[in-house]
Amino acid sequence: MAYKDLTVLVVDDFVTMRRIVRKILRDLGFENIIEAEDGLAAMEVLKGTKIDLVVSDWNMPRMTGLELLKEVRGSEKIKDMPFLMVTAEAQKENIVEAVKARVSNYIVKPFTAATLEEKLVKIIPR
Amino acid sequence: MENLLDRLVNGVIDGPDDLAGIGECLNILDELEGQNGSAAPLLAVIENVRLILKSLILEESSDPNNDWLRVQHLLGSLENPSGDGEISGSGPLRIAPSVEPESVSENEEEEEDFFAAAVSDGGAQTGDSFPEPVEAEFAELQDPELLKDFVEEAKEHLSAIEMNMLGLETNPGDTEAINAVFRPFHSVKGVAGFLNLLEIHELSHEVENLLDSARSGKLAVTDSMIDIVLVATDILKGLLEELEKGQGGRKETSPAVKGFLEKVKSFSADREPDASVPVRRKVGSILVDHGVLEDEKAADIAEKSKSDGRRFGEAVIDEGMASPREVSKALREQRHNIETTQSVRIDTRKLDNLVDMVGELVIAQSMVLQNTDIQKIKDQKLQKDCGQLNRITAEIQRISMSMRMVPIKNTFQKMIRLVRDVSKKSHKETQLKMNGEDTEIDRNMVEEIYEPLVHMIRNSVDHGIESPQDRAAADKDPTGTITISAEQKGGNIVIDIEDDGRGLDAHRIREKALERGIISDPDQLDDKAAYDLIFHPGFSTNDKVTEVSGRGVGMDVVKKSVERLRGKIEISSRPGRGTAFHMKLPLTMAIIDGMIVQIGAERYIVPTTALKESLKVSREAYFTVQGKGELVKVRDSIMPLIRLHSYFNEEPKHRDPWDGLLLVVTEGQNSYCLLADEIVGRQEVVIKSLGTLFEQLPGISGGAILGDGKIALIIDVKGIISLYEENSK
Repeated sequence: MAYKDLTVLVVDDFVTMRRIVRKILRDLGFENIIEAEDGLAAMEVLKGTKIDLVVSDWNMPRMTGLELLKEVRGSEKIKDMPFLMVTAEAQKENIVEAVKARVSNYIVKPFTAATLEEKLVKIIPR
Repeated sequence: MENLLDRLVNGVIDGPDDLAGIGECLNILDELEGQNGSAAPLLAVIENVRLILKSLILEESSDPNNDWLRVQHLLGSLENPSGDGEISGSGPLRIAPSVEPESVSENEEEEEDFFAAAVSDGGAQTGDSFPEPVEAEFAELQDPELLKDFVEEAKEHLSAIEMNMLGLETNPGDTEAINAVFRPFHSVKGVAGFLNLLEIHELSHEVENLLDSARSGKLAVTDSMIDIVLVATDILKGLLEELEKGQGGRKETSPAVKGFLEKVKSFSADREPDASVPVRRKVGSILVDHGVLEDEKAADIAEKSKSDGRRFGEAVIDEGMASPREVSKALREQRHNIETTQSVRIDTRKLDNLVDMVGELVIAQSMVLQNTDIQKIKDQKLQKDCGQLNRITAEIQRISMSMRMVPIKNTFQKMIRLVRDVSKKSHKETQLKMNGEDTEIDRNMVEEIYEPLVHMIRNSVDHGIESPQDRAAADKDPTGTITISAEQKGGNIVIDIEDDGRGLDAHRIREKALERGIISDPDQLDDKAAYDLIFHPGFSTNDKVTEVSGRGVGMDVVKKSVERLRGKIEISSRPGRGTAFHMKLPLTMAIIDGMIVQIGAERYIVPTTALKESLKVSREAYFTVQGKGELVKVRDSIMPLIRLHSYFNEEPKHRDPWDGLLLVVTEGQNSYCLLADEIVGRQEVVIKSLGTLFEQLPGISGGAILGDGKIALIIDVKGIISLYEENSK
């Protein structure tokens, strides 16, 4: 499926960050991008909208990226959702924790369109 | 277990890129490990697989495909004990005994290899470095609109930090508060990375690290840490403002930021012990003190016990270096040391009451001891016991006073921030030096001196310190220095604020004062007297109204505050070399040194801080001038005479000034003579409020109980003078 047919949910509490990710996604050819400001808001979106890919920040108020991931993996309907964790805490244990919670992949800030694409190829079902 | 192994081997992982599969695999390994009866060789393999998987996750592996093959091989060896690496989903499993020793040792070798690889690989990535944004790659994001929005959002997020930091100050253990502070730095850092804002990125990175240590409990949230975060917040705000003006985004870190970064780094490196937590002495060092252990051996054992997880005490006993009794004695001492440094919180009102009561006790004691009947008793034992009583009450007084004393440090430290803020606003470079910050002062005073200090330091930076260019031109260090020192001298605390700025310009001060009608004859004033003019209300020599100090509201306010505290302020200055303020304050507001004077039938107390001198004058020194009332000539100065008895409705013993006693006091630039009958004595008195009914009584600032148990009123000299000035208008 072409990127333009996929709906991406970008989760970050920082507006500028969401805009940056949105811009990079657009550069890659994505057209349907939905934003949520934290895990709780993301869950709301996921309940009512068909999403093909989640790109989520880790550190957010109310519900963190990891908590969101666990919610997603625990919901029958969306448990196989491709989930890309954006992280700056290149702290090993944190990432391993996300991997154990079945994150599809992760990406370290700052990243380029090319790096993002590399990761997307790995996690979007062909 | 077979089930688990089956799942593990039958390809839950698609390949080295399949993180979800790797995650699943790690979970299965955890489960396997948690099962009872897993044999040691199995555990070794599990650990080995886990390490390789982690390196794959973290992309630290130098050859993912090869590592991937190794994982397959190892998993295969779990299921197929012959160790041929073949992956098959069938066949019965026999695990532990059949894993051949060779294969384990081979694995261990590999593990070491892997470690070496991981370490050398990771070395380049970890430590203080972080992935630096490459300019070219992010050029597409150099969008002015985005930058503008970032600045706004970042500032908004940063503004919440101060509030949260204050919350942390009162409750250092509040993880949610640390998180709330951590998050904005984290987010700002993330975006700054994308936007290639090097300084902002680096700064927020360091602070993030610091806060992360605090979050994980590795670093205690102390005042100094809070200060660092606050300063970082301000620097960050400054950098954002630069960006807003289109100046920011330097490719190199500016020296100021660099200096601060060093500070943050060294702060995290030699983290301070948390002052609020009593320092626990190490059992080892207690044992060394007791002569049981040698220093080196203690270090050895500490090292060992760290690696094998034993407690230090256990290790010492195991190694036969100390007997259990010696260790338990050391442990007891360790506990005891902590207990002695414990503290309790007390309502300050209770403390104030205690101090008042102790003051009363001292006075009551002197009343008893000075009782003439008692003094007639010539009994040696009584005299000795009285001496003992004296010593005890003096000690009680000292201790109770000391309970209310706090170091002036906190107040001083707040000035660091102020100096920085003001310097920045007025485009100066200023450093603050502090001396004697451990000097203790009554906690009630601390609050009172804060405002005057802020005012003076603000003035010093804004008016005293020259711009870096001017300083360089005058052959001075471009960075100005302000030194604040505190020292206890007798019953006073002396606070000096010195700057190495341009100094006061006596000539200009005279001109200005003349212009404003504050003085009539500039030549009459020597330089020192001219300097004092800056304390005059509405006086400011700075032609520009600056954002920082404004105009006119300044030193007169400071002087008033200091005087309200029954203190004194003096000024000295050397042109081109700097200005110094010299503040002398009582250690406590509850007790004053008073001159007891007789006026008619009553005794009154005049605070000695208000007194310049007391004297008797000759008849010739007294004269009256039409429209100016009664005057007294003291040496070369002519001062108005204020008859205290007329203000307090007393019938004086002496109506003529040359018979009575004159107290010379000053207010602003003017001196006055207060007429009293005679001096009775001098005594430290505990100030008593007169209650709300008499609070506003002009000319009276309170009451006190004298040595003989009678009550005397304390004269408010300033109040009397303003009453006099009003009446003579």
